[in-house]
Amino acid sequence: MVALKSKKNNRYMRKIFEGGMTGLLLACALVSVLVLLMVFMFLLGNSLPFLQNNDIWQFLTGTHWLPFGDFPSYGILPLFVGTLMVTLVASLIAIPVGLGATIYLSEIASPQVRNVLKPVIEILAGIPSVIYGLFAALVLSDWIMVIFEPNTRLNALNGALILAVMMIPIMVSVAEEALNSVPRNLREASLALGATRWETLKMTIVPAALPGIVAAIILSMGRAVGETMAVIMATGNSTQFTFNILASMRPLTAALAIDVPEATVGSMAYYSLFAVGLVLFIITFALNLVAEYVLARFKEAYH
Amino acid sequence: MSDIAVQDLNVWFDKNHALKNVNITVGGNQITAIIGPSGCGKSTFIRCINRMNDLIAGCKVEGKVIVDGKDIYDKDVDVVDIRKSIGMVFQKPNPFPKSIFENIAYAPRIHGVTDEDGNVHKASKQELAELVEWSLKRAALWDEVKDRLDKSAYNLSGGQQQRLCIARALAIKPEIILFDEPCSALDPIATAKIEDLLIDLKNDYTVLIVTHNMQQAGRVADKTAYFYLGDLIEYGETKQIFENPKQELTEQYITGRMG
Ligand SMILES: Nc1ncnc2c1ncn2[C@@H]1O[C@H](COP(=O)(O)OP(=O)(O)OP(=O)(O)O)[C@@H](O)[C@H]1O
Ligand SMILES: [Mg+2]
Repeated sequence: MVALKSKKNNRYMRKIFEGGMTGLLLACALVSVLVLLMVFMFLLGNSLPFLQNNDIWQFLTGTHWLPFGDFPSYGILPLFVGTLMVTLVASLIAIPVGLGATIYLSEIASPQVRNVLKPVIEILAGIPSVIYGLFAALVLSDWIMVIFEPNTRLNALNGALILAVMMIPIMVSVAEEALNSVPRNLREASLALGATRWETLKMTIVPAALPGIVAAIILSMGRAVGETMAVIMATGNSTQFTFNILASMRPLTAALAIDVPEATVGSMAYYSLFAVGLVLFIITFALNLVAEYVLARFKEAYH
Repeated sequence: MSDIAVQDLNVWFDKNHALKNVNITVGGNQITAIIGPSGCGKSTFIRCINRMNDLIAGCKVEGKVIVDGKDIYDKDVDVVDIRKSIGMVFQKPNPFPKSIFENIAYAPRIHGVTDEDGNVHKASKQELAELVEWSLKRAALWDEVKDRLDKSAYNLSGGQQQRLCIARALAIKPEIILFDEPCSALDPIATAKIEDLLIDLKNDYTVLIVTHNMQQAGRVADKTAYFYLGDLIEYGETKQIFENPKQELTEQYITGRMG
């Protein structure tokens, strides 16, 4: 009787404990959602004074970014194009190189080579962006001068290249993890059927690791869109509206960082910068939606 | 069907001498069971027959494995050709995360199909469908899955998944099929189905099966080989091995006096 009672008691305690744990974990999950919501509300709230008093269409398509002075103009198209060009060109370089490096690292390199390369790549991912910026401003720009002979030493290509260099280690470390976590018995199943290493990679490993690979790409693109210091130092920051990759540009992030210290709190310029921040937020959000969509489509195709 | 003649086979994993001078000839159209305590080299032995051990860093194989008069460890042999003609089924069912159909079609898509004249060509849709149906029927799974070939193989039960893996191996039209403890993750009913299937398959294939289950060896195998610590201790008719073992070590194992 006593034993039974204490057992009952135990079960009661366990229920409380499990309930508590569930609540705690739910709270953790909610905090992150809440923070996201708060950031959004903060940006939206502070951009409202600007959005209510200005033509949003003008804001999005205007080609002059002059938030200060007597006749301000709040067209973010040049900034938007700056972000787009720099990110796109950086991705075009970084995605193939990064995926190639990933496959080499996880499928081809000998264990000795891997043991050297992996930590090196992880260190690369951790270098502060100001160092990359310095390298772009002082070294990379010289090389670009010699090869492409642009009109300005600091330009979008410079920014794109340094962003590509920064994207690659992030992509490689995440994607390599994904390839590695494909169960060994799938690999063996494929090889035992007489598939070569390449066929196994193409038909089994990569499809099975695709969610992780897509995550790696999106994560590194998000890094490129959000990167500020390196692009400020590399791109020259001219706010001209151009699609010329060899011209100087100012991406959205750089505009924020450069203009915020100048803006008087409560001025229209001040609120306009929050609107720029909102646009940046929406871009990264859209990037993640695209990733979700790709993965959902992939799952449909797979099951 | 192919005989397999293994001569002076030695395998090392780094310093660990996992198979010691194994000599054995496995006949076609029969089932040969490999038994022995855990770690004695059973898996290593059958993985030598389709050269899966090549994949393991630090593994060294010496000796000959002669299939159809040809040593598969010869320098001029392409390992992919070997694996194409030998099917393998693993301990844990390992279907690909693809549809049932695509699991079976996996190898034919890669290797193409062979016509009556022995020419290999790319598999047409029609041929793939026929091959998938044939393989699933041969593995006694067709009736259970014919209405959901496009569904994920992961939705099948463990026993069905294992029969799917057998069907997948049959689709390469092998002469030899290797089973490494194919029933160890299955319940008795699923096990009985696989055993029936094994007995049916031996009419057309050379079948080797590693098993921990001595009743299973007794039920299905024509011949049985007993390994201990990397040595082939005894090999003979299953009945003789179980009822009248010649070696002391074999008898200890059979009667359960060895852990
Ligand atoms: N990939 C490997 N790397 C290193 N050593 C290995 C490897 N595979 C097997 N061995 C070693 O080879 C010996 C034989 O192992 P094997 O897997 O063939 O045993 P087994 O008879 O199949 O055992 P079990 O019944 O537990 O599956 C063991 O000593 C094992 O440690
Ligand atoms: Mg084994």
